[in-house]
Amino acid sequence: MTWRPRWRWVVPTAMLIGAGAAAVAPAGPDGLMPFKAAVAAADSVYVAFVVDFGQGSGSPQVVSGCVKVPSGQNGYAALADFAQQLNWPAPSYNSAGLLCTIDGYGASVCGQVVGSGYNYWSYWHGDSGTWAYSSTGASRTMQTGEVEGWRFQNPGSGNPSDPAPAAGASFSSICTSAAIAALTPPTSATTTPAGAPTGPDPAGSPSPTLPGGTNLPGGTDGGAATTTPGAGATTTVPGSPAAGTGPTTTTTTLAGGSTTHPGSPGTSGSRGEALARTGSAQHNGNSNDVPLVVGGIIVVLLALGALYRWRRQPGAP
Amino acid sequence: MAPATRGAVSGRTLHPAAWWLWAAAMAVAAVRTTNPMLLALIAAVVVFVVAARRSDAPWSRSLAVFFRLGLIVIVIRVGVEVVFGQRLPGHTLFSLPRVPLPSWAAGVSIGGPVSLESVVQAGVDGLRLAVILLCFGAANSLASPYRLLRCLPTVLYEAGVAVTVALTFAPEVVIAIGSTREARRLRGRPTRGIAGLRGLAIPVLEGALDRSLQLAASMDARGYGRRLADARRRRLSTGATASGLLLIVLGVFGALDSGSLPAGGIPFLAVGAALLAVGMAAGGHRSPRTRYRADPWRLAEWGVALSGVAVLGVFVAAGVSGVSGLQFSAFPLHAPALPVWLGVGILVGLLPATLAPSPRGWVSRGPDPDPNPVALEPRPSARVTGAAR
Repeated sequence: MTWRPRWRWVVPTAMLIGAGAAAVAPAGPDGLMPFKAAVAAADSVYVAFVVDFGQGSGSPQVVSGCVKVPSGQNGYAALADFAQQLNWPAPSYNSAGLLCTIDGYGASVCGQVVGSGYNYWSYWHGDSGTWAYSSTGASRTMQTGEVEGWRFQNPGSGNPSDPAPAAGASFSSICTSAAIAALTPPTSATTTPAGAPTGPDPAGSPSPTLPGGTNLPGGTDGGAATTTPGAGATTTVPGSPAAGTGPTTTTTTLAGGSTTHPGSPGTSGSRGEALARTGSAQHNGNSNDVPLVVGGIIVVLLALGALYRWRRQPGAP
Repeated sequence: MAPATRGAVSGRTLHPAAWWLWAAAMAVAAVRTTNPMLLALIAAVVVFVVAARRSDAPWSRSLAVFFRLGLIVIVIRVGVEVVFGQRLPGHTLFSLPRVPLPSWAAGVSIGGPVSLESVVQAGVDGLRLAVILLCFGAANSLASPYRLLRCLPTVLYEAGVAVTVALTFAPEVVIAIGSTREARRLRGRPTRGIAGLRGLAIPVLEGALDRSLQLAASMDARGYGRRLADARRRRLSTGATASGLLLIVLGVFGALDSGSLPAGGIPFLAVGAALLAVGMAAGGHRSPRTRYRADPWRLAEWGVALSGVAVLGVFVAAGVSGVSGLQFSAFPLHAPALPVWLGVGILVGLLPATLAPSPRGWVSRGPDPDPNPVALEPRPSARVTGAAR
């Protein structure tokens, strides 16, 4: 029974293809261009990021920076680029696509219900100069001038009344001309920001590999972030072109006066104290390989047994 | 096994409600996890039990139909993800041409890079739905829909036609597929591929609905759902039942989506159950019923139902205590874990393969003793197959 094309299907199919082409045509040549080709052809865009770890009322910790992403990428990809630029682990998502952790920090259960609210990462747009709560995901295409805000709500109500990221939503003050200039020359700066030449201890704790993050002790205002007070911070700046990007692109601002925080290798760890680092917990699956293999064998055996019994005519002894 | 069941082992079918309880518990367990390893284990257990304990009734092939349906669901789910997915960053497999969408369509995409992670995640999502369908198919394979119909509480007789169609439509579809395919084969028409599907779909759906309605009509003619003379009592019974069922639906919603209703919907469930009980009590004495061949509820029924409940209990306990392996996400990509206790718990669901009496001796003794007229109709598929051979 081979399927033969019938002429009466040809006309509707041709019309359908024509209608699709007509719908795409106004989008311009970019519409049908394969994504990778578009990436290669188009230039990059600069996006300002503000990530607020929302550590309670006492010590909000805000990380802001400028990142260069290939044009055509959506907000999730830009966030991943931002995390990579800071040598953070990639953001993790749950099975429904809800953002769970940034830099391994988030609720132990994604979107965990706490009292009458939720522990979740809220998403904000800051293009207009003030933060606007986004009720949709970060799937819109990035353009230069966007200010992307992520704030962990601990807990929040899940609507626009939740607190916005505790930093100004200003593209020009985050992506300054110096920051953009620092990101521009090395083409590899966005993809492998401080990878190989990270100095003496690349495999160390997250804090030293932060590309020149100016970790200010408590009480210092974010406005003075470009001056590096501690000697510890300057020694970790890598000697690559990315080094120049460090002080200007990433400012770790501590507004609350926490003395336990920055500069120390436990930067991320101190965040993780409040809530579990689910990102890293998910990865150490190597120790669970034995039950996995046993389970796989059981599944195969049961399936084979079922197939054997199914093939036998029911009713036969 | 206990003496109560020993005599019955070679010669009876299990109570249909026991099979439905077991299958429903397995399905709810599948709802509560997103771990593909656990889902695969549940599917394997369900398929094995069905293969071990199905009869040769025409609806016993339901599982095969639902298995194929599950495969289609997985393919559709992956296809939707590839075309309209959320485009989370990951290892890009290939890229589709991208259609730019206006800003108000944020959250939807058409085309774009397709990552390995998103395909894996979509496959696991589809697998979950497929396993739930498989559990439903298992219940339809193992339990006689006509016997199940007889177990319904008297109150539901008000909705006689709807309940009958709801309970028997899936098995009737399976029966109709068999007979329609045989008929097409005898006429030399294609039964496979796209051409076969085109000729099959309409007759199968129409035939299955026709048969369900015909069954409902024949039951109506025999006094099923006969109305109570006392109008006041009838109103009380119907009203209490309807509002009770509505509250139970709300309560189940609250129990599944924690945080949507106060106290997890438990008050709704309690009030709804109380109202339902009132409705049943008020409507219970409507007409005396006699049973030609009662379905006993013996030790084997308890064993089958409790094994399903035990599996579900392990899953609920794991969910409450926050076992990390219960949920799986492909972002970032990693191998799923298999929590040992959950795996062992699922294997408890295998017990019905030995606990339930084998239907084979019963089948070889003669035709279906079900007094239902539709069930006693000649089975088209069996007869035609015999002739074709």
